[in-house]
Amino acid sequence: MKLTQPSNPPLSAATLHILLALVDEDLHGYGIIQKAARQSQQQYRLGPGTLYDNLKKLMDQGLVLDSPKSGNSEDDKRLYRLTPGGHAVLSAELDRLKNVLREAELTVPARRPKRV
Amino acid sequence: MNAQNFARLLYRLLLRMHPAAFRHRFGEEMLWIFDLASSRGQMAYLLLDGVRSVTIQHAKVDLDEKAVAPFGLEIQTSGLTLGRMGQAAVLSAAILVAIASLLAREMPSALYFEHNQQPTCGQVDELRPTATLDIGQ
Repeated sequence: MKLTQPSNPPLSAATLHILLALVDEDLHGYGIIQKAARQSQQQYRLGPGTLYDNLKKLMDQGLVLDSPKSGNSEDDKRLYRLTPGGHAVLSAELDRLKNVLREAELTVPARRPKRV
Repeated sequence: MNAQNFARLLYRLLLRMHPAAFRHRFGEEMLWIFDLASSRGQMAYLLLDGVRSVTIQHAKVDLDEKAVAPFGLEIQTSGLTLGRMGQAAVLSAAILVAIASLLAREMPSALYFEHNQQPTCGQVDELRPTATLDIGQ
């Protein structure tokens, strides 16, 4: 039997948070880290090594673009931007997560407070 | 050299150990993030993330090289070289500093007492036994 790779495999937590952070604005690396922490209510902490490993992967796949520095100043940081392909992958992942939630709500019984 | 500067030096050495292509592209930004985040008490996490990043990036390069190398061709430089011993020392130091930083954060009261509090006369008196043993009555 041959196993086939699904067309849209689930994204890792780091990839999902990076795509979500970039969905409505271009950000530099530290901005992505801060926004990912804010979106997860400080539950998910992204280190620079993890961030740039995932950004490199996303750029190689054409889901994220990096813009060149605007000037010669050292304060100018490279900004990262979501491509239309990145938007599509994020939408597909959000649909998948919604389906998982819907399925969970149907199958997992609602938690009731225990009687004392 | 204080702890912050020592951690920064370790992190720069960790960045130097990344594969050249990755380092040239992201090294400067990673150091910038380290400077911003380490001042907010995340030094241990950043160092461990750096060690993890070095391991992952080299593993990826090794996998890529093995994928293109014909069968039978092995790594040409093997053995314990001075460079490898240096890299091992940097990795070990980064892990040890990260662990020490975590422990220091977990036990602030003990360290505070050790460095800042000398027992006062009252405390010394409290430590003396108050009960007396009467003998021969």
